[in-house]
Amino acid sequence: MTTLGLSFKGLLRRPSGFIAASLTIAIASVVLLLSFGLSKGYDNALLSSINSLGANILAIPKGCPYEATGVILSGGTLRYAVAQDNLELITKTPGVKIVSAIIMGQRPVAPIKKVHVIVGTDDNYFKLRPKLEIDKPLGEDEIALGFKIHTVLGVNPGDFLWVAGKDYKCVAVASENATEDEDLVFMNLKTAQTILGAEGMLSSILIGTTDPTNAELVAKRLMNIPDLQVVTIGDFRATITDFVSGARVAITSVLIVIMLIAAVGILTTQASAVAERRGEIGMMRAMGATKGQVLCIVTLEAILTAFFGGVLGAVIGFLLGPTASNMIKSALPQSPSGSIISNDWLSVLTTVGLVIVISIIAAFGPARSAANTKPTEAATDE
Amino acid sequence: MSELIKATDVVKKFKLGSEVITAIDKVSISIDPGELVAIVGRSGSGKTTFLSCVGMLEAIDGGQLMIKGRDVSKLSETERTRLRRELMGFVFQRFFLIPTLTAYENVALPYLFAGKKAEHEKIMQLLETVGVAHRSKHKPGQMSGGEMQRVAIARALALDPPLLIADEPTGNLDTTNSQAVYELFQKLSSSGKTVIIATHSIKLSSACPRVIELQDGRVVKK
Repeated sequence: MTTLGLSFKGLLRRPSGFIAASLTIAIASVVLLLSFGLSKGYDNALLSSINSLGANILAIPKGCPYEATGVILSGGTLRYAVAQDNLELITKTPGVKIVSAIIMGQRPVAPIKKVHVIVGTDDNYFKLRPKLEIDKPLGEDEIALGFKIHTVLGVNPGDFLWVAGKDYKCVAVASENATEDEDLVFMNLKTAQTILGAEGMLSSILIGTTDPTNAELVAKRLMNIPDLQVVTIGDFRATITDFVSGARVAITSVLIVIMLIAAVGILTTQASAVAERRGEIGMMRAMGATKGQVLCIVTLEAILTAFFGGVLGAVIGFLLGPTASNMIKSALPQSPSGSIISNDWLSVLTTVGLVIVISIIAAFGPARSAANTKPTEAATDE
Repeated sequence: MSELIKATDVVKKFKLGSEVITAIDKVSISIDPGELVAIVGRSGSGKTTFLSCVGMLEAIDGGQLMIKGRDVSKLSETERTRLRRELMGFVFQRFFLIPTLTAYENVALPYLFAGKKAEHEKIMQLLETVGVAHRSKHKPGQMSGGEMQRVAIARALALDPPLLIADEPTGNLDTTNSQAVYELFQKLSSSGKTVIIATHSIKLSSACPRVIELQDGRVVKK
């Protein structure tokens, strides 16, 4: 017989109370783990999406720059309001290393003629986004496909795909790792402009600078170009980070409430368990159990409850991660591609550790009360 | 033979609101090793309080209490706990066995609190002595009141203390089981253990070789 064994068997005295307290802890752990995963995963997915842009500066039509960038990140489309003539001015701006023009729009695509996002690009686009692993410039009758749409449509390199009234030859499929672009159909810039009825117009321009640390200065120079909104990726990231921090405060508030509920669950369970066995604890004290031993027995009961609940919750939270990610993404107007909930073993250990610490704190009152039980309680308890 | 317990003018008071009640009032007695002593008296006479003092379950407020030649009157709670573990076993009217542990595990509990490894042979021998070895794997809920009290007695004897203190040990038992428990105490006394029993039962007390009667916290018969 060990103290741990005695505590475990003590829990079995009231299985329903133990199960109820463990389930409360499990629910708290699920929320805790998903919150950790969301906090980490959203940042990672966002950074991945931003980094995948491959540029330091984004030139877009006048309007809200962050909304526009968000639309681009989530695969949406912008109005074609940037004149292609600006390309030359941008290219000649000191500090600019590489420029890529983009036009994005939606057009029906075979075989089901469902509307898909098509992206018209120039040759520099694939240089800026090496993750796509497309190294061939697209001719006027050629297309490249994102990995997912290639899988869904069953179109492979060499096959032809009908897009908005004409067949185009698929010459490349993007890498499976380029999840940000997995739903896109890439076309030659001129061809896309024709299909979209926007000759000479662009949705946005990606700009890479010679020195990435110099992006702010180059952006200032580019702001002199009329009808062009310029935003650096650093600005965009800072704004999104501020937004995410705000959301994190809200999530933390919810977490505190949930943790308090779990703590109250442990506290009431342990308090009533101690009150019920006052005479029994008095008997232990009479037998020579020290205050520390009694404190340890009751605290271990709370730790065991938290451990079982925490592990159960962590396993459920881990399994629910992908589903929760999709649910949250579908509820958000714009979200980065890929899973926005990222959990690892460290998150699981942190979750279980945190609920155990909370249970120790919550059980301290009842445990101390148990430890202070006088041995005479065994003689007087009726 | 030197006495195991020597109480001299022992006083124990309780506060009840603003009133101070003297539960034990200058009690002086001596009990020798191997004695079987019954403490009798009406409800409220101070039997349980006297046993609590002798058993070091609480501190005394006056006088001197010597146990096995050692003055325990001024010991701290921690010291009393340690000494209690070494010198005493307790049996109460309610058995206070842990319901989720088997009879064997309940008897093994004192070893856990003493930080000692449970001695299997010793535990089985104790269960055999009290006549419930066949119930060693049963939990309290599967046993009769008499059997539970025997397990409680075996538990009290686990660390082989020289003194056994029993407060109304037959209070929850029928006549047959009460008689069996008494015979067990007699056997323990014959083997050298000192047994002090607080009881209302005239039958039990009259069978004891020595009876101490308390009235209003004072000894009226030694």
